[in-house]
Amino acid sequence: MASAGSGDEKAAAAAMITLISSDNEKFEVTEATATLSQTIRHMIEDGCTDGGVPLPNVTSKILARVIEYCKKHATAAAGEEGSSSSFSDAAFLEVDRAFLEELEEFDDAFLEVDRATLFDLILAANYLDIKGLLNLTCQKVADSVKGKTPEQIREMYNIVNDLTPEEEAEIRRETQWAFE
Amino acid sequence: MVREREVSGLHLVELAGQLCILRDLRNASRDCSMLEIWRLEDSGGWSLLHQIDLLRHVARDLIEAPIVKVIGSIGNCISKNKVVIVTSKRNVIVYDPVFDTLETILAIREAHSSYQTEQSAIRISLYQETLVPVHKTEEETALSTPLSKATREILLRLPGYYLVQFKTVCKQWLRLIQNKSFVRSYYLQNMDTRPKIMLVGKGTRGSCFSFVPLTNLLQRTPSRDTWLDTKLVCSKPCHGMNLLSTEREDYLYNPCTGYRIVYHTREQPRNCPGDGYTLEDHSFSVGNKIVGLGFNLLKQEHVIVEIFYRWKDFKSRRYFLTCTIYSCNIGSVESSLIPPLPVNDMPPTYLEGVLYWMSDPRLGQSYERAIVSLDIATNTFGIVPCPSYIAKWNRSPCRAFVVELEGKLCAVLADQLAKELNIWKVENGRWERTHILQLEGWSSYSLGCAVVVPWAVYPKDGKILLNAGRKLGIYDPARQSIKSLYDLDELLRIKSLYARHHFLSELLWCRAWKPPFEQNKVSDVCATVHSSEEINPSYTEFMPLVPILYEESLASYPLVRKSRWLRR
Repeated sequence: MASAGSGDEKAAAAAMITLISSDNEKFEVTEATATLSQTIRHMIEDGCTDGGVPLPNVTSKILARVIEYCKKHATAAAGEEGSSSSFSDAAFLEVDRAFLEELEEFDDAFLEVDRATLFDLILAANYLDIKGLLNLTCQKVADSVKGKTPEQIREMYNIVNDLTPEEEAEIRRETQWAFE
Repeated sequence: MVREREVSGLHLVELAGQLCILRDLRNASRDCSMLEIWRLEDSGGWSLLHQIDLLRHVARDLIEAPIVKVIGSIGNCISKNKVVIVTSKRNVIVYDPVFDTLETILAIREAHSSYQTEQSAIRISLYQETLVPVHKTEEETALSTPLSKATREILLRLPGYYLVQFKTVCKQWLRLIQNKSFVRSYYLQNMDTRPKIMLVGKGTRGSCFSFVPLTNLLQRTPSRDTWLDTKLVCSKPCHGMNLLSTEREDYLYNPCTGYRIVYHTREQPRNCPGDGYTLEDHSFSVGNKIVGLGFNLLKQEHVIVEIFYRWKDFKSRRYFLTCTIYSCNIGSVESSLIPPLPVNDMPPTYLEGVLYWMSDPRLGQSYERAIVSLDIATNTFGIVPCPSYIAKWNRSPCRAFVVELEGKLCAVLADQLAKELNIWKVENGRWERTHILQLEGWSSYSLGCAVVVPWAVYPKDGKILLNAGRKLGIYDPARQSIKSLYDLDELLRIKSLYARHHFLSELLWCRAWKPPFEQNKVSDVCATVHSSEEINPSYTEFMPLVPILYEESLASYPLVRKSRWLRR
């Protein structure tokens, strides 16, 4: 029995991946969590994750949040897979709905961050190639600029208008149909 | 960087940023085996930089090779520059000026005969390993920063209407939105195969048309100001654009951004275009004009093909038509082509660079139906045989036309007697009957009263979206039933009641369409509450609101020639 136990431990240890943030903080995550990132998935497939995966573009603060997201979504994905075999159809649908609702709540709460963090999350999601997270964060920003004027957007995101009045007039002429 | 030029025995070469000249003295006298490298001084004179005695090399190759060349130097700031010498015998030798040594670093054996064709050719050159991209413009470099990547991802998730306005936020946003690859990604990202429907109404404040997504109808019914005052027919989306046609104009329209170009119909509508001919008026025809939207895959531009019947005579089977092809980017007009068969009054269907019309068996020499095709890139007409079931005409009034469903060419026969739509699809180059839609009992989709067009297929469950002009319904092939999606008459009735009875609209909208015998209850409620109200729609000639299928895209053509600053 003891040997079987140590075997399990070994398997569990093998499935752990160490992620290293730009400020050299180490995060131990399961392979299932890490592989939500296509970038890391490819690294694992190529067998270059020994000694940890350095992520020089992601700070520990952001990486912690990204891992939080991946953990939640990885368990949700695993839960769906498991439930499909062990539950009847109706029960499965029930569980499925509960999962989705919980996940939605989690996502909503996850997005309750300031703009700078949200932006860093987008960059990290883009770099790590995490489709769900990229979609979630980008959609949040996209929704916030819908219906705003260019002037309001510049104010919201500290964007300097580097177009000359002539250039702006030209764009308006070119796209006059959109401003009617 | 290596530049060299051979001047009969001598050649120029750049070594460590200095222009040098190589003198090969092997031919000068029999026992000489020297190479001399001279350097151009700032003063303008030449000074001897290196003298290389080839005999120092272990092998005799260097002396025997027909051609010996210096192609450059290697080394860094720490080690002195070594001179790279290549021979026409595919040897690379490095000369180290510090130790005055010659070392072979590469020798390619002559294994393939093809390499020996030209003895004197030097086939070795230096290269630099860099990440400098080839043909990358300043703009592309600007668009590859993390900030711009993130911005791009955000912009990809915005409706096209906003993106056009956001061009004036700043230069980066403008570059991103106008970038060709962005426009392509935007189209692909939003290319959802589920049919997306809007209602077209009259435009307000100078715009030609207004568009309301069908899903928004529950929140707000289009106001009377947006009712159309002329008949309008809309094409299916084609590479991000739709064609909206009235009797006198054709509009190439991007309903998502509001972009449009107007084309005035050259031919003027006539009232009596021939003996025994009355203009067939249905929701898909506009006067004597049969107009379709296609795409030139070669030139990557939209084309509008307009066939116009000057006159037709079903007794003598004679007709006279004109065909005009407008290319939307270049702006050229081609009107010398004539379709090989007379086409019927249904709009053509576009599929993969080709437009297809159903022929009219009542005109011309053939008494059978066939499909007329136009290859847009080559401007050539052709004839595609119909399934024999549809080709047979029998002088029946049954309508036949072509549609595109699930990316395949389909031929449809609307059998009025059997009250069914027969759909044939091209599968592996052969016609196969894929659907028979039973419309018996669904009076709103009666084939005798209206033209019912299978408009699109829902990819998830295979249900078919039917367009009967004033009504849209989803046909379930398994249950042979129709669920109403939109009913213009109901919408207009609600509109007229809406002012006084808000609750009724809720009631009507929440109810799914049911077969007529079940429908009475709600209609009765409606009628009793409003017995005094005149429910007498006077819109028989045209529909005040027309449904349109669209794609999310940023497709447009420049209206104003681009000025210099945009190219910078």
